[in-house]
Amino acid sequence: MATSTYLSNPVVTINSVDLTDQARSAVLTRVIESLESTAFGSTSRVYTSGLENSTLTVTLYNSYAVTETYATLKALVGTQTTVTIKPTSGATSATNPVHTLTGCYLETLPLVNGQLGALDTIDITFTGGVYTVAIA
Amino acid sequence: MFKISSERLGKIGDFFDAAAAEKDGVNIAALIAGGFLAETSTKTETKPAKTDSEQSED
Repeated sequence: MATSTYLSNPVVTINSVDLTDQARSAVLTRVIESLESTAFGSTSRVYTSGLENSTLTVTLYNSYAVTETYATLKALVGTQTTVTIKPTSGATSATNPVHTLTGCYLETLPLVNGQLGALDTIDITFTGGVYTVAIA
Repeated sequence: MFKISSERLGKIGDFFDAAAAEKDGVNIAALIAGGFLAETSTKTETKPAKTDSEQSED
């Protein structure tokens, strides 16, 4: 049984810019690459930790208006930046921590995702960087 | 010196500490390109030299 529940309403900043009201999905995954260290005599595969390679994937409504989605992202593709995500808009605390990827990389930026009768949304993924979490 | 020019970044008109933000991994050039920051001049207006325009009476 769930011991706590909250409405999914994360706060997302990209390069310090708050794009929460343009985001509709955000998934932060902490990834530490595995390195196989299985040796002769082993009866099962053994892994050890390698480099960290966390990712943040965000789905945003595309907007070309002033200081909106496109203005935020256009100069970030191919560069490093810092992104943060917090589960809810409440004060930062142990139950509402801020997760940060510092120095993560934006490889691709979809510019137009047009479909008849649908809003233009884009999926972007930030990869790598240093993961930290703050509770205050 | 930079001032915030979009509410998405903070309170409009507030000073933005670009050096500190850059240390935290923020891409300042992208913020400027996106119109989120406005550079402010650090020059102060120089006052004109004082001149005594009144005629002395003696």
